[in-house]
Formats: sequence, structure tokens, C-alpha cells
Amino acid sequence: MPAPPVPDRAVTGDLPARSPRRRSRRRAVVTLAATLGGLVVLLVVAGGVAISLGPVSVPPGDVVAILAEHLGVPLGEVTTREALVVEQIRLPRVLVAVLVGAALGLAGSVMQALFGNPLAEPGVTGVSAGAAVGAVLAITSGAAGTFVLPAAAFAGALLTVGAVYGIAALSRSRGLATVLLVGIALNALLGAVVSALVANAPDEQSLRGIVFWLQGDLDARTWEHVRLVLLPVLAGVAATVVFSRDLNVMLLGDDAARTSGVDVARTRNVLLVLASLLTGAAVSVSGVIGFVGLVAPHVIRLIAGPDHRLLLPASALLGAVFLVSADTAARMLPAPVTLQTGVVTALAGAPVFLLLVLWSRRSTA
Amino acid sequence: MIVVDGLRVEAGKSVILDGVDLTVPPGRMLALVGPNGAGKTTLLRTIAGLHRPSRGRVLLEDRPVHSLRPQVLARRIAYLPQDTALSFPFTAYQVTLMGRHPHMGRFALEGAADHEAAEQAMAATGTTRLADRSMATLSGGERQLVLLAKALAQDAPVLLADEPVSALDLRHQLAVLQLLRACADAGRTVLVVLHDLNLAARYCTELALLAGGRVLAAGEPAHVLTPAHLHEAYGVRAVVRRDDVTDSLTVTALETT
Repeated sequence: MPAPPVPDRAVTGDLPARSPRRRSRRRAVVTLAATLGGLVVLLVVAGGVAISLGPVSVPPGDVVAILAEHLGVPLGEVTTREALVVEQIRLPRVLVAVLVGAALGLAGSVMQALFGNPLAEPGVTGVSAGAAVGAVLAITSGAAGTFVLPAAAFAGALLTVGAVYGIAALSRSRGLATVLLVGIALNALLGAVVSALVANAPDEQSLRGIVFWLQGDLDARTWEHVRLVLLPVLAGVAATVVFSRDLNVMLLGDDAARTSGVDVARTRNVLLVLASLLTGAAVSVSGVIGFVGLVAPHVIRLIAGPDHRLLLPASALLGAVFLVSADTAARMLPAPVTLQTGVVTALAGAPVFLLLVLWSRRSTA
Repeated sequence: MIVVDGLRVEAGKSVILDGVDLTVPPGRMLALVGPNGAGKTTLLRTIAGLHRPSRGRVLLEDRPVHSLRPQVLARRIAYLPQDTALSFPFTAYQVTLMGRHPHMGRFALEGAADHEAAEQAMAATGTTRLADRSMATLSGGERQLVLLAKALAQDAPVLLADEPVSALDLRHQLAVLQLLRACADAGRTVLVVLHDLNLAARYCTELALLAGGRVLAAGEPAHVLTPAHLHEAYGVRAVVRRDDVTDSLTVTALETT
């Protein structure tokens, strides 16, 4: 029998369509510009405050003058002491915080997308734990130095990524669930190794070093650290952003994504390795810092929606803002109290995360 | 045109499909019918390039689908899965626009043509009013309609749909099958998995009855829907009559055998 012709609004008899197209396009552009622009301003402010605050207070005007002079724009006289503090102590520390925070925010949003689970965080494949083993080994063996410690941590991270893939490849099913299970097992195993190393630490000094590293701390970061983490993070950011639309489509599920033109297996492998390397590079110079990678993507999703073309760069920026602010707070606490950067991110991040959970549950209920 | 040639598909040690031959020219709408576990979904997925056959092949315009890159394949074949779980709050319009993914360059933003296609697809499926709603807040049937809109926006000459009406009410079942039939009449190749034999007989130009991983019968509804075939495939005693009102075949299953 011949099928009846299909009228324009065949199914539910829609009212004449308002154009969702124009509205959606304009709104998308406005959201994009406002979110990214706002975050850049926030980052500049947070960075400026971080550089200006400290035992030697540097007025904001002088901060601008010192930075401008480096860019070849002489704005005015500043004392050498101020210039030295800014150049050799505060600026590298802030830059490390920016790069590490950006890497964690980005890696977190990529992991959440790959696992289709908003609870995934950068260390889900076990990289952070692997980096911890490398770092703790370096500290207990007394070899730790500005270069050796991050290198050992990054080697630990790399070995862990290799192990996850080796084991997942050995098992017949190469699905994501396997990677997740292997990651959980490795996290537990490497955590136990760290505990064993801590229990057998040779002296008080290395024990203290280990505890500081495991909580994540940005004290005494130098240009050396900036150099170590700069390239991996920039390369990771660039490479990850290339796949942002594929990530959107992959959230529809493997079948739907592949039949929409995404090479799911290849994209997932590339992104898992990239996100793991980003995490490994970040953690190597900062120690294990929690909650940045978990919270940043959630906040962005609530403000600007789940489109990864915005979510990825915005999560990187917000991660940077968060870590710079947390590190400033950690430095500026009144005398008898000392908190490490990683402790501050958890102290501030966990309540924020709880509020987000309540908020998003209520708005969808 | 889709040609399935001597197809055998295995999963682990079990054989899901064996010796399947099927040809669907453009302008036809074929329903894959058969009992649970007959291999309908596996056949559809293999045609979509999601399963690698262990023997035989699927040809799309004389080229094996497994040799085509995902992006190239997606421009030619659109596939509507049974259900899609979304854990992040994309809106219905954003999901529909994702159908345009294979047509866009890696760094391109959606252009006017992409928005046009998405909007038309939403209008055709009656989902325009859902455009700004989050997929998470839609009912199962509404989600199915939006995913159909996404598949239509993909604008591929071949359309595969796995139980596209399973979550829909009476009215929407008819509307969706009318829409798919209109696609076929406009020259597309449409393959659809259906459980309802009466709807299949009424809207599809041909049927393929699968049982135990083989094609038991294929062709016009009258050729496929016979008491003997139904007995063999489903293990039921059934009568097949021509319905006066719709002028199509209806199947009434009487008892299991």
C-alpha cells in the first residue's frame, strides 16, 4: 500500500516552529565568549593577587611594572628586591600553579567524557598513584632533587599507563570497563606500595618530604619546574582540543558515535593516553593534588553546558584559577597554621562539590 | 543499495548469523522480523559496520562497509540504536545537530546548512518543541524521536533503525513508520527491526524473517507471512488474513506449539 505523504510537522502537530537555530547559535556564541573571557580575567586577577601578596608585599602597580619590563615595556622604577622576589619566587610558583591546574582541569573533563561518568577524575587510570611511587622511591633513596624528583614521578606515571594498557590488551575484552577495573586494581596496589615505603622510610626528613609530596605542594617551585611541565601541558591542551566535537558525539554511546563518523576506538585510546600523560606531567611537579580535576568540569557544565568545545578550554582555565587561588590561600594563612596546596584544594573543593551535587540533583529532579 | 552476501558473524564461540544473503535496493523499506535472539540486531549492526563478519561481506554501492572510514561510512549510512543513555545534559537540539558530525571538518563550527538540516529533521519528527529541553528530562519515547531526528539530520542515503517504535504510543508509532516509508519513497534505502508483524506488513515494502541466525524467508509480506513460516520461526500456530480497513496482512497468533 502506498504510504501517505508526510506533512511538515508529521508527528505531534507542532505549532509553527520558532527558529531554534538562530536562538541556539546566538546563545552559544554569547556563552562561549562570556565564559572564556570571564575566566581569563579571573585568571589574570588571581595571578596578579598571588604575585603581589606575601612576606614582601609588592603593590599591584609594581607587579605590572615588573612584568611589563620583561616584555620590553618600561613602565617605571621598582626596587631590585621586589623584582627579585617576583621573578625568582612568585612568578614561577604562579606559573606552575596555572599549568598544573589547567592540566588537571582538562584531564578531568576528558576522563569524565571518556568514561561517561561525572565522577571520573584525572587519576582514574592509576597515573597519580604511579607518579607517587616514583616520587616516594626518589625521596627514600635520597636521590630527590629539582630535576630527579619530577623525572622519577613522571617515569612512574608512564610505567603505570603502560601497565594499564598492557594488562587491558592481554584480556580479551578491550572495553573501557576493563581499563577502569585495571585502573582500580593498580590504584590499590600502588597505594599499598606507597604505604609500605612510608612505613620503612629511612629518616624523619624523608618521611616529611613524602608526606608533603603526597598532599601536593607548590612550595619552592622554580623556573626549572615551569620548563619541565610547560611543553607537555601545552601539547596536551592543543591535542585534546582537536577532539572536542568527537567527545560530544561519543557521549551518545559507542555505536551511535561510530555510526556518526567517530573512530571510537582510536579516539579513545589517544585521549586516554593524552589525559594520563597530562595528569602525570602535572602531578610530577606538584605532587598529588585532588579535587581540581573533579570540580572544575562540573562547575563549567553547570554554567555553560556540556559542549566540549567550550568545556575543555574552560575547565583548563578554571582549574588554573582554582589552583592559583588555593595556593595563594595556602601561602597566606596566619603563622602557626601551615596547610599545603593540596590540602587547601580538598578543603575548599569537597564542600563546593557537595553543593554542586545538591544543586544539580535539585534542578533535574 | 545494500547487498549482504554469505554473511557469518560470531561472538566468542557462538554463531549469531550464518549464511545470510539479502539485497535491498534504494526506494525500498525492509523490516527485519523474527523471534528474540534470531540475530536481527546483529544483522543491522553488521550492516552499519559495527560488527566484523567472520565470513561473507556487506556491500554498500559495491564497496565492503568494513573498508570505509567511519566518517565516510557515516555520510552514507545513518543508524538509530535501540536506546541511548546520555549522562550529560545535552539539549535535544544539540543532539540532533550531532547528526551533522560526519559532514563537518575537524575544526569547523556548524554552518547554516547544518542548522537547516537539524531544524527540518526536528520538524519532521515533531520534536521542535523539545529543542531546548535536556535529553535527561525527556521520556523514553521523546528521546527515541529526537534520536530519529539526529539520524535524519545525518542525511544519509541509507537509514537503519533498530526498533524505532518500541517506546512509542500508538499515534507516534504510525507517524514514525509513515516518516520512514516516506524516506524510502523519496529514494532512500530503509532497514528497520520491528517486532510488530502487523505494522511491518502494513508499512514495509518487504520483510526478512530471521530465525536461528538464518533468513527463513524474504520478500513481499504475503510471501513471508505464512502460517508455515510463522510456525517454524516463532513456534506458534497463527492465522494470516488481509485486513479490510488497511488492506494489509494481519497476523493473529492463536497458541504456542
